[in-house]
Amino acid sequence: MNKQIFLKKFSRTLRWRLPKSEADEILADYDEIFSHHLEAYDDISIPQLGNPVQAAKRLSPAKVYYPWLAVFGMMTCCLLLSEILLLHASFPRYPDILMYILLLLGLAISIVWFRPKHRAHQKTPVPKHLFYMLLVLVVMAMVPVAMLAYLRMNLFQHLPFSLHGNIAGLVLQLSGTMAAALGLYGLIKARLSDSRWRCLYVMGLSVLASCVLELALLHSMSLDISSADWWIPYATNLGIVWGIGLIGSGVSLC
Amino acid sequence: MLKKDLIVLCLLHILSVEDLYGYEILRRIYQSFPDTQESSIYALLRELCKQQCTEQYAGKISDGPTRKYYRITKKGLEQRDALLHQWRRLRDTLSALGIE
Repeated sequence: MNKQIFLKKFSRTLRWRLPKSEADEILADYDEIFSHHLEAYDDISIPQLGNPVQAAKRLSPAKVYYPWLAVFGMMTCCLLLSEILLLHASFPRYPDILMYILLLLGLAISIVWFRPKHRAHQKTPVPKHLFYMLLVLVVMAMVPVAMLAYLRMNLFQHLPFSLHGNIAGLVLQLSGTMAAALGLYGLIKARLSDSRWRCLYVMGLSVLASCVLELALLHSMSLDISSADWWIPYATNLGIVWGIGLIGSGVSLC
Repeated sequence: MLKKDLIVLCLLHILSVEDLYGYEILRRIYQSFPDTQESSIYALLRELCKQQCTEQYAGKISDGPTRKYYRITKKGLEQRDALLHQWRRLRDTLSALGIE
């Protein structure tokens, strides 16, 4: 194993297990150690430093690592529960309340846990990939709105009746799942590189929540289509979820 | 007394003699304990810093690069004395049993 491979594995494990500032400090120390070995270590093995993963584990005590695991578990649960509801398509009596709870819980934990300890990262520009992924999520956030508009305007009428629900459900499940995957990616990146990636998590969770709410509406069988205003409460729900998501994402980017 | 304590004792001892930078500490300890990985020694050194037995400062010798130096604190000296006491007691116990 040469220096590059060692440092790559070491830094990845370390950044996962420790807060950014602490991991940066240790990596700087290791850089200094390596600078003394530089010529020798570029090509030959480095048995003195041992296994990089084990070395990183040794430097991350359980009392620091386990709280992060608990936070990661809770934040992932918010995504996972919503995703299970979406894929299973079986909803509790008040899905909107459950989705608000999950959304606010995920948002609150991400803001508190990843709050910047110092403002040094603000000097660095926001990662370019983050912008592209946020853009993808914004496009996906349009899916539930488009579905609601289609239902409102009866645009599914030209399709066979049996396909209406299936198509709408499939589209919502697909975009919700993609949003969940992007949200999870954002959460992992927030830990490993830059805490501002948490906004991808918040946005992903919001899009997922809106897809769940929309699918719950389709499954509720309580649409009073005879009333022209049936869609307003659902649009309001989507608006609130979007509002929470956008405000949360904005805060997360700061 | 575990091997870990012995290494901690050595770390505190060499720092009580003079301030040293990270790599030099690791090199000296590794020479005495070649079967211990440098990463383990570094982990112990870091733990000592967290316990405030040692502290760091940036320094440099003549025209050399700026390095992170370690120095022992009052708490570190007390820790060293306690470990040294333990080590002497253990050595005497072993001697009393005829183990040389």
